[in-house]
Amino acid sequence: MEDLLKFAISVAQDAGANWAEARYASEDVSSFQYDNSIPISSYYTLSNSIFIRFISDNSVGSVFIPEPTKEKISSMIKKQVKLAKAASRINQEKLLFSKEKAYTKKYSVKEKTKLNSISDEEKGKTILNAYNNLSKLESFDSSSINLNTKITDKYYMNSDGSVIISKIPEITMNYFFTVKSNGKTTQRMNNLAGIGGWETLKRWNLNKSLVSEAKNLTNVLNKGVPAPKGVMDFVVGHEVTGIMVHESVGHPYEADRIMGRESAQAGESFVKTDMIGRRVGSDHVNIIDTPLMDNSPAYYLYDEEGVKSRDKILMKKGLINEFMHDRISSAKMGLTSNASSRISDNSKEPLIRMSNTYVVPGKSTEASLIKDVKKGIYMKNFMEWNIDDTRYNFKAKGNEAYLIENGELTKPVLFPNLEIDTYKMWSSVDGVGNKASFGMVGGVCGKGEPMQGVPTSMGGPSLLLRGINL
Amino acid sequence: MKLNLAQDYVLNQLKSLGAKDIVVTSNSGESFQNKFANNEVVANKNWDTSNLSIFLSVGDEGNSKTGSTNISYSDQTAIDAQLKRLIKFTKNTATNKNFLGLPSENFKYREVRGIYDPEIKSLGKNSISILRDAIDLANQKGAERTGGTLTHNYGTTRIVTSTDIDESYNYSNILLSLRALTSDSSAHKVCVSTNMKEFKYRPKVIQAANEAKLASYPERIKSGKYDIMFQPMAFSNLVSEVGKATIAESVENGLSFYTNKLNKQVTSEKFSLFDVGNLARGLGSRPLDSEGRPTKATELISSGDLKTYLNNSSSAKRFKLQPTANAGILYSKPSNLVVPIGRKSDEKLLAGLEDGLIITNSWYHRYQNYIKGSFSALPRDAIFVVKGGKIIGSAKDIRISGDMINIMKNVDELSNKKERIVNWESDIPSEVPSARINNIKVTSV
Repeated sequence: MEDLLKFAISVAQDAGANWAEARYASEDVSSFQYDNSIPISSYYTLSNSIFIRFISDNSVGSVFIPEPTKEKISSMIKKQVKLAKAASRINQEKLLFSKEKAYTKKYSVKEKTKLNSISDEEKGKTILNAYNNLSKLESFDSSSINLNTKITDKYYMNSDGSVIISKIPEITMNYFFTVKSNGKTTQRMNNLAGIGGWETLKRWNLNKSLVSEAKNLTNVLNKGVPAPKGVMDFVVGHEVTGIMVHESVGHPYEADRIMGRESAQAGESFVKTDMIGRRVGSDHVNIIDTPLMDNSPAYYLYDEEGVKSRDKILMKKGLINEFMHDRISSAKMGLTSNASSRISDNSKEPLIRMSNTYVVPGKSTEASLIKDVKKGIYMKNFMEWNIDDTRYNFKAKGNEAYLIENGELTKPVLFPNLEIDTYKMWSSVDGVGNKASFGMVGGVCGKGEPMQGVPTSMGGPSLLLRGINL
Repeated sequence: MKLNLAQDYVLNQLKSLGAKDIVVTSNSGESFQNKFANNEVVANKNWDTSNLSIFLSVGDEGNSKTGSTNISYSDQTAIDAQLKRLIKFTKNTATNKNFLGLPSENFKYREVRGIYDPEIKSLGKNSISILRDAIDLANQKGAERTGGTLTHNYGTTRIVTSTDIDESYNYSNILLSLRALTSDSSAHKVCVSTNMKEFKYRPKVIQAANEAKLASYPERIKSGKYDIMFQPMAFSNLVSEVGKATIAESVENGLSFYTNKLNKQVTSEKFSLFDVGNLARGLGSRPLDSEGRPTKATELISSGDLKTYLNNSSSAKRFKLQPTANAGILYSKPSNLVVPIGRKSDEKLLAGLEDGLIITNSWYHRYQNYIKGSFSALPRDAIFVVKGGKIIGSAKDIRISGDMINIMKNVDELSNKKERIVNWESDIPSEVPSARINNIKVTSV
């Protein structure tokens, strides 16, 4: 494959490209979905493909070829370089591209128990066990659970001289279930994701966690009181912290959005390029995005443009500190890339993406945050959520939630709304939980056209928000 | 090995390896996309979309095990290895009681008119001329900048099955998605066609620029209940949600607000919905579905009443319904969702809006409870404020919420002009008019 990659880069350069990169990926995927106890889908594939991206004149071009041959690589690249040259005549602005150090590296993520050593029966049984435990509950109505493994062997090369070889095994589980009680229903959807071997699954403690969630939601259905109205304080658990961070800090700090590249798809940002140092939250808030979190679903040492990974401090003491960049957006701002370029699969162009994004823990226990509230809501998790396309108008609707009265959780509350603008939300943070309250959850993040769903994680500690209008 | 030869080889090999139901689908084609932002072309992409996908079952009906894969097709040794793995993989899975066999009738197929135009295949660098014209036109008409994509696809799909089906068809399509932006407003339009002759993108570009200008100086509005006119792009998102809720498997899995609603009123009497798999020049059209059943038109909602669920052969049997030819072998899928038009023009719909809003686009439709259909979504791009049937301003930062059954029961009027829509939020092709829907909850932060 090294030969094919060198060939692809040389064809692009000979055709007139000023810069080129090529990646060859072998993607070994297996996927099982059970609707209740029935294996509705059992799928596997082993695909080999090449993706080539280049800069020609003042424009970027790319080519994707499954089952690549030199003949096909040559003909498609030559045709596409011509098209990119024609397109570059539309462009007035000079295309800048950051200069980055070239690396020759090889890395892989260890699997204590190799994913491919696990039989298909055992993968199916894992889902069935989760279903069986859930279905014993009197309130159980239905479930849909899938388990996916993916092993990506990638060989990346660019015309700067970088050669990066990696092997990443991933495992994800998505579950959705309905519980029913007293003629009412409620639902839960969640994503668990990590990298490594089969041992990753044990960390999720599936059998207990799903049943516990279902029991708690049944309790909300049976005993929940309507959400009160008025201004009150919120304590949110790490899942809610995670969605707040992901949607209203992670996305709007993607430099390509800020610069308008995604305007007709995932949208733009309320943040502008000159807002570094601007206050958007209280002093308590520090937020980091990092691909260097062990076992996380978005782990990588080098991004899809060959840039070495590092932590990105997005928000520091409530001030915008740094955006996520690739080599194009960073060059526009006179910077170098901070390695935020990712893909969902080998057929896609690299885009600026979050990896693992979280609020840095503080010192308060979750119990002390709750104790500090006279009247309010504790929102442990959520179901419905959304945000506008500039990432300003946020909503998360509680799923498992409780009333706080005089510093204590008293009774379940039915589906309270956290609907608030981004500035008010982060400015209202008056307390940050400690490491004991810290947690990360998986999420498949969508962006681009064609849509790219990349694995991410999001989270942090519990947070205390003051003066929320419910 | 060439794709078609590999396809025949796979079918024969799987038969000899003991598979019972087999569907092997090949696609050979290409996809091109020019992406633009801030009036500049930011990416020029080209995909070879060739692939070979396989579905098979082993064992008897009602006791079948099923598996599926996409495989490499260039090398016979690699094919043999993958097929052996597929058979082993499938035998190792549990029984899929939901799969009740492929249809066994002797089908005859009719060509679907106008789903392939060789001019799209030969578009080449002309895509750049279209792009330049669209960007320039939007700017001439008042946009300060534009973003979007120009995408075109073509190819041939061939389906061979263990039930002796061997059918192929050509397809093509072209889509311009353009968002026109000013300093404080925007409007987004799409133009989609399966042939170049009907690819009339210029009126859409002008409409986007005009609406973006008209939506300048948006203001916050009060939360409350509003009567809302949904333009086709915004209405298509609601129609897609309705379409997805009619999928039989969604009903089984708690993902539908139409559970136990067959033959009951689920929308206003003014609303009907068809799925038309053989729609002439339809983006989602094909002569046969993924099981080989000839596609057709199915009335899903008739003047407000839910008539059937979208199904494949297996879910049709499970629900005791007539097959609608919407396979997905394992999960049924809509093809083209078509809403019959109403009698009034868009202008008359607007004139009948005493005090309300016009929503031109929306996104992020998310459910709190799929069975209840309780959701919220965010209008994006131009939102117009209407008083006495006239636009008096524009709004921003709002969210709509409610439950899908009530919202669709409040459909008050449909316009007499429909548009074909595929957009970023929902990729189900639809053909929908504008709709006026009353009494929708709007919140503002």
